[in-house]
Amino acid sequence: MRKRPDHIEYALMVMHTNQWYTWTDSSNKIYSNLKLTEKVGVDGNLVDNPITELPTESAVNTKLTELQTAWDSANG
Amino acid sequence: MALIKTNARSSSQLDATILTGNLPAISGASLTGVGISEYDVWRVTSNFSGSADPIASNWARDNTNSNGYVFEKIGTGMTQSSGIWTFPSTGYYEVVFTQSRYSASASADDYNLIIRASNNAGSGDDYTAISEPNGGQDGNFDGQAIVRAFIKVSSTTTSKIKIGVVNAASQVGTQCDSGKNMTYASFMKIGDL
Repeated sequence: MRKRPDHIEYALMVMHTNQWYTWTDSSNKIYSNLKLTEKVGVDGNLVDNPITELPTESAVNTKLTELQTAWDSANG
Repeated sequence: MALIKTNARSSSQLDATILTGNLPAISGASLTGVGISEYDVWRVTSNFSGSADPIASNWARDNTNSNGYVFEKIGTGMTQSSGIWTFPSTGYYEVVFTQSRYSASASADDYNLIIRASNNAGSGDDYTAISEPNGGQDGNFDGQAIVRAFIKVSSTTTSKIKIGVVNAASQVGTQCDSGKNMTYASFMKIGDL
C-alpha cells in the first residue's frame, strides 16, 4: 500500500511535472526553503523551467489536504 | 614454502605447471591496481512527477552516516553539472540508476528510465540504455525500477552521460529523499581501457 502523503513534497510533486522546484536546504524541506529551479530536462536537453511562480503556501497545504483526504477515503 | 624449480622460464614469467607447494603470503600493501578504483553513489533529494530527462537538479552524493556506517566514495568520484555527468578517469564503468516510484494515481502508464551516453561532451546520444518498468496492475504500483549501462569512457573531457525518466505520465511519481537512497545512481569502474 502506498504511504499516506505526509509532507508538502507530495503536494508539490503533483502540482506540476518535472523538477520544477528545489530547496535552499534539502535537509530542511519547509515552505520557506522552497524555490524554483532554473532549468529542467526535456528530451535529453536542458530548457528553462516553464514554471515561473511558486504556489502559495496555502495552495500547497490545500493540495496536501486533498491528497490526504483521497488517501483516507481509499484506505478506510 | 613455495618451491620453484630451476627451469622456470624466466625471471619475469613463472610457469604454473612447475610451481609446487604453498605460495608465500603477500602483503596487500604491496599490491597495486587490484580491486575497485572508483565507486560513487549519488541520490536525488527531491520528489518529482512525470518525466525529467535528464534529471537536472537535486543530485547529492550519498551522505549516509549512521552508527558507524559511513558512505565514502572510492577514488576521485563523479562530478555533475545540471545533470551532465563527468567521469574521473578513462575506463569501463557500470552505471546503475534506481528509481523509487510513487504512483500519484492509479492510471499511470508505462514509461522508461534512460541513461544517455555521449562522446561529444553531452551533446547528442551515442548510446542509450533504456529500461521499461511496467506500470503494474492498473498502474497502481509502488516499488523500484532500474536501468543499467556499461559505459566506455574514452575521454574525461568528452565522454558524458545523462540519467533520466522519460515518457512518464504525470501520475508517475519519483520518490526521493535527501537522507537515504530512494532514487539514486551508482557508478563503478570495472576496468581500464
